[in-house]
Amino acid sequence: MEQIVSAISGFFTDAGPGGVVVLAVIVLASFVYFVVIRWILQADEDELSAPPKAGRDFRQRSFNK
Amino acid sequence: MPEQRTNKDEVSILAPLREVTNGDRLLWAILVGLVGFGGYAYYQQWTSGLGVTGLNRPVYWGVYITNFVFFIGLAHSGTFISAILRLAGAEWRKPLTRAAEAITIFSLPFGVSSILIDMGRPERAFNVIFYGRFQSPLLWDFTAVSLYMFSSVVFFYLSLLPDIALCRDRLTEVPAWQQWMYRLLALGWQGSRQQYHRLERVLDGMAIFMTMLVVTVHTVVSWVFGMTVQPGWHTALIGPFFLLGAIFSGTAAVVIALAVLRRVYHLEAALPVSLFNSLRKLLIVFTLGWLYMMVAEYLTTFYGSLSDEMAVFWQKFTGDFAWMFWLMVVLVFVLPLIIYVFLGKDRIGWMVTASVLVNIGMWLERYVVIVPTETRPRLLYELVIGTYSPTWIEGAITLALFSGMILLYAVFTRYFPIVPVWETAEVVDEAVETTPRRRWGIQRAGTK
Repeated sequence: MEQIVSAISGFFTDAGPGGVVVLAVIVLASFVYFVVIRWILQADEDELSAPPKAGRDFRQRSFNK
Repeated sequence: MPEQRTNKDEVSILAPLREVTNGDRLLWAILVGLVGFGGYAYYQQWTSGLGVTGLNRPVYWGVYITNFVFFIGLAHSGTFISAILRLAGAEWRKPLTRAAEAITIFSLPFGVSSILIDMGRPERAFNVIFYGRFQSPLLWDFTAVSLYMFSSVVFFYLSLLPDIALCRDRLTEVPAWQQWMYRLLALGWQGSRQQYHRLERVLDGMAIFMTMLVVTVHTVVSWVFGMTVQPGWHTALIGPFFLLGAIFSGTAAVVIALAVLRRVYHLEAALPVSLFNSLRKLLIVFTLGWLYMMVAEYLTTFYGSLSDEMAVFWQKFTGDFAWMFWLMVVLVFVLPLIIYVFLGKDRIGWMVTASVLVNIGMWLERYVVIVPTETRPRLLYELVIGTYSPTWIEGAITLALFSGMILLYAVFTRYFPIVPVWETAEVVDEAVETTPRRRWGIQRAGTK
């Protein structure tokens, strides 16, 4: 138990872990934004390759209501 | 298949992008000169140390940190106009979103720079990464501002993407390098229905995230002060107070930017007076909100009457900083409220006047929050009344920071549409779809 408390306490007070978290946040954000931008730009390919589905079109319409 | 959209103002919005005038070049040259002058001042500081500034013991934070808080505050305009009003379904915001977001993008770097300039050894900023510890509010600040800056750039870029593609397709007479830039930045955007649909979905999702970020960022900025036990800083109200002030000054800055763009680029049709009237209502609310925060802050302090707190309190109300404090009240509250309420409706000139006053006043407000309490040290070995007088070095660097921001903004508006063409356009294909839904976007209940 003491080790767990010490580890948690160390995370906040030791020099180093904070910087790792900052980098992790930025790297994660970069990954998410990269995926999102790709997803937007790939819309054409998906639209052309996938046959039109009534359900998908319905979802879009209801989204815009 | 590309979605067909028409925008009756497209020609006038794209017109400034077709030619860089001699007036532009002159303005850019002046601004570059001012930035260079600031660079020279910083060189002096770099070689001689912070001793060339007015910073001293016990006043460690002065104009640079004031600039930091001010620039971060300005940056909130874009997120407020674009993300928060987007979530609220305020359709009137569309023509001014990009002008507001551009203020965010171009003021954030100068806020971050202010911190680095304030450091005697700026290379030590990397210590935040190597030795960062989460008990320090400085690390929270670093995390929040970095993520905010990064996310704002992505949010801005995504909403700009269809218009970059429009420039790529329409501006065929511009220099080759400019065409190449549009081709590169457009990322092959085709403008299909599905692409627009996905873009809208992402922007809506990001708007929620950005709203959370904007609250977090300025609260965390305020905590850099609030987590100390310094009189005037150590109050739970400091977070909301900073946030409201940020959105207030940011929205006022949007008014100034819009008015200048409207006049210089002849965008009267794309940026109608009604936009300013809508912003006027918001600004009246913010002005009153700011008064509420002021009263809540100082009345609580006054009733508590803690001796350390009161020393700073009286310093602001009747002491050394009284002239600045009351000038700030007049500039942020008294004059703007009178102008916004009685003179601002349908009068852009008055709106700009009040907004300039607000921004000058908000800069003074940051200064009055930061400096007075430092001049009243409470440690035994420092029991001397501190003084602080900024030097020309700080003045020149401050001028350079503002010039740099204006320079980036001015250059941007000459190469990219400052009014979103695609967001203000109407979809003209798909006869079935056009009646209930003008375009691929969220058409919320109750909006027209």
